Amino acid sequence: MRKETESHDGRFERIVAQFGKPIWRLTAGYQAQRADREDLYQEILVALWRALPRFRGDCSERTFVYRVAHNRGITHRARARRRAGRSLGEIGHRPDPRPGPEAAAMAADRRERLMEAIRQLPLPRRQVVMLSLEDLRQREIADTLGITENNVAVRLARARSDLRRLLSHAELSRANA
Amino acid sequence: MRENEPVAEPSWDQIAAAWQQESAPAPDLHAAVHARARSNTIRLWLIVASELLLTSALVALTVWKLASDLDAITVPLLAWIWLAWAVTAGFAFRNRRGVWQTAGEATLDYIRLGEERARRKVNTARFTVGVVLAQACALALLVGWRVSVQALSINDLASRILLLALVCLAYVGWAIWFRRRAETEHSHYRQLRDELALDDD
Repeated sequence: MRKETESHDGRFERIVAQFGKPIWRLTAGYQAQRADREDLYQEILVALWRALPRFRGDCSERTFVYRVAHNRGITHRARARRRAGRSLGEIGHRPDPRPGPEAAAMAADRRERLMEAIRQLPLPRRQVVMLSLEDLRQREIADTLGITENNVAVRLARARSDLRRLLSHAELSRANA
Repeated sequence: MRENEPVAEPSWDQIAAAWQQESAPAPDLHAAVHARARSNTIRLWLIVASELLLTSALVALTVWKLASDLDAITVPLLAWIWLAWAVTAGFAFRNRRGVWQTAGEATLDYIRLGEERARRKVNTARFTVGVVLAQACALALLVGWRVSVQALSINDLASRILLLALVCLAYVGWAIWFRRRAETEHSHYRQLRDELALDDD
């Protein structure tokens, strides 16, 4: 009932307040540089603003928000790839070279390695793993991506295995460095 | 640590915890988002307004011509203009249907619709070339007819044909550029679809 009486502005503000942080997190799965992430984040918010009046309630609001975010994510990445004329998967693998106060912190370092590993996953597994890390259930992930729950389960199992392997390799390389 | 010494794989809980540790807050882009949304809305309204303005101008021209003395050339010219308008409006209506806003669809539908939208853009480019050529042929016929009825000077005729050729060239040039862009967009959506189907075994 609240959603029906909410103005477009009010609804948008509520969604940004509720999902702004998760959307910002998922931009790191598509782009490594902060400027690119900000660009993608802005694009997602504009797409949400435009898509909200057409939200028919055929899925949950959370699923709808993640649909918009991931759809913009893949096209933003494809556009960046087209602009740069680079091969598949190459975009977004460069960590931000700028030193920052958090760069020294261990948690930030661990997170950076995780993001790096996630960006190395093939796109289908990457999307599933990011949605799973945001605590979406398999049914919601399937609704977001337009695939079956079985397919989600298969992709997720492979993605988790890939991710653990990539993270152990990263840990090993760091230890050897 | 020695080289190749086994490293324990992190647990899923550790991975999830690291994922949640985004230290940097989401940027406040409210002003930029509102500005972009506003400019998008203005752009869409400008397109609608220009279409309405063009139609109103055609109606006004028709009414004015019908109210004044009709000569032999005006009736087929007006009929031709309205026929071209009807064909173009019909094409635009059919071509835009069903692929307007897709951002909130599931990813696979979004890509399928994106591919379809790009394919329709290619159709638009083809249609534009067809309409321009048909218009050019019709106008050439009308000019030829007028030349046979009225004695036009060579200079007057040449300037009209040159203007017509320039307008046609501009439209065809735009259609070629638009078609190339749409084909690139189409191939990128197809690549994305193939890429996303990697795990569909």
